[in-house]
Amino acid sequence: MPKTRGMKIGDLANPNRFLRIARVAIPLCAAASAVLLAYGFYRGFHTPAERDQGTVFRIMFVHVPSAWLALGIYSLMATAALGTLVWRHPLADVAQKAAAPIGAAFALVCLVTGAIWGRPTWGTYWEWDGRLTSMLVLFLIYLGIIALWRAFEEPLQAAKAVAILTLVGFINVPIVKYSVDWWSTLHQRASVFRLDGPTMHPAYLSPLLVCALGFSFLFAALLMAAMRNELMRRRVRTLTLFAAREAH
Amino acid sequence: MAALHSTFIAAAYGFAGIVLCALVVWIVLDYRAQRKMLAELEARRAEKK
Repeated sequence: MPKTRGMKIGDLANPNRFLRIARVAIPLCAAASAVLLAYGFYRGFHTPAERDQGTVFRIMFVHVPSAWLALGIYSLMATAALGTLVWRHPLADVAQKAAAPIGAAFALVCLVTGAIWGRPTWGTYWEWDGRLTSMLVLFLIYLGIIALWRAFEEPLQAAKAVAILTLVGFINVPIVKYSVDWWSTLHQRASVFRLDGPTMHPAYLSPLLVCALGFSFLFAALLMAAMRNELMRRRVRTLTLFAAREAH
Repeated sequence: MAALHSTFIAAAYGFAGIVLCALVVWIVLDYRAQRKMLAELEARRAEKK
């Protein structure tokens, strides 16, 4: 039977192959992100003012994609944690370590832009309600994961501890998502990802989705670049240990 | 009201821009540092051989 020449997802398990793909994919994803964000923000800033909120709703084009990415990146990290513990995929812990600071940055952007948006619409920057508090907890979990990575010197030892913490912390992801349905909150209910379809007007929805796609490409570029850095850091560590052993 | 809203919008986009640019700069600087260290270590290994 002839061998198929098409690439399978499993082929990415080879770090050298990943580095070759990343060299091409990083600039492509960065360029796609720049084009989509420029177009999305242009469309977003040329939509008519919202009836109740005036123009301040335009914070949505950065706040909502940041929230989606903060949750999405954590879900990706939980999948990578399974990859580390169950399938022992050689790039799973590299991806998990690289994704944590990026997820933390998007969670921080979500929290701060939400607080800034909250002041003119709710009359307060912060309220200890279900959505805001669970999002803050998600940010703190990200910080905990980053701290745990730094607490271990041996990356493979750290990977197992971090994978367990990541899976335990995953319980917060559905809490963030459904907090607006479970508790009475200041934060509005979901208006895009709903079983009965989006309730947002298409004039606002389409630039929002373009911005979300743009931020997703930015995340993809940053993740691959950070994974490449981590693979290089591990090579540096191996060579340093090797040199030290040879010196003795 | 519109001017006040513009201040909030500028603050939100400004903060997001600073955080995401800082992330990009950190990753680029880390890449340069790792590449430099790797080149030095590999040159040292090549000298020994």
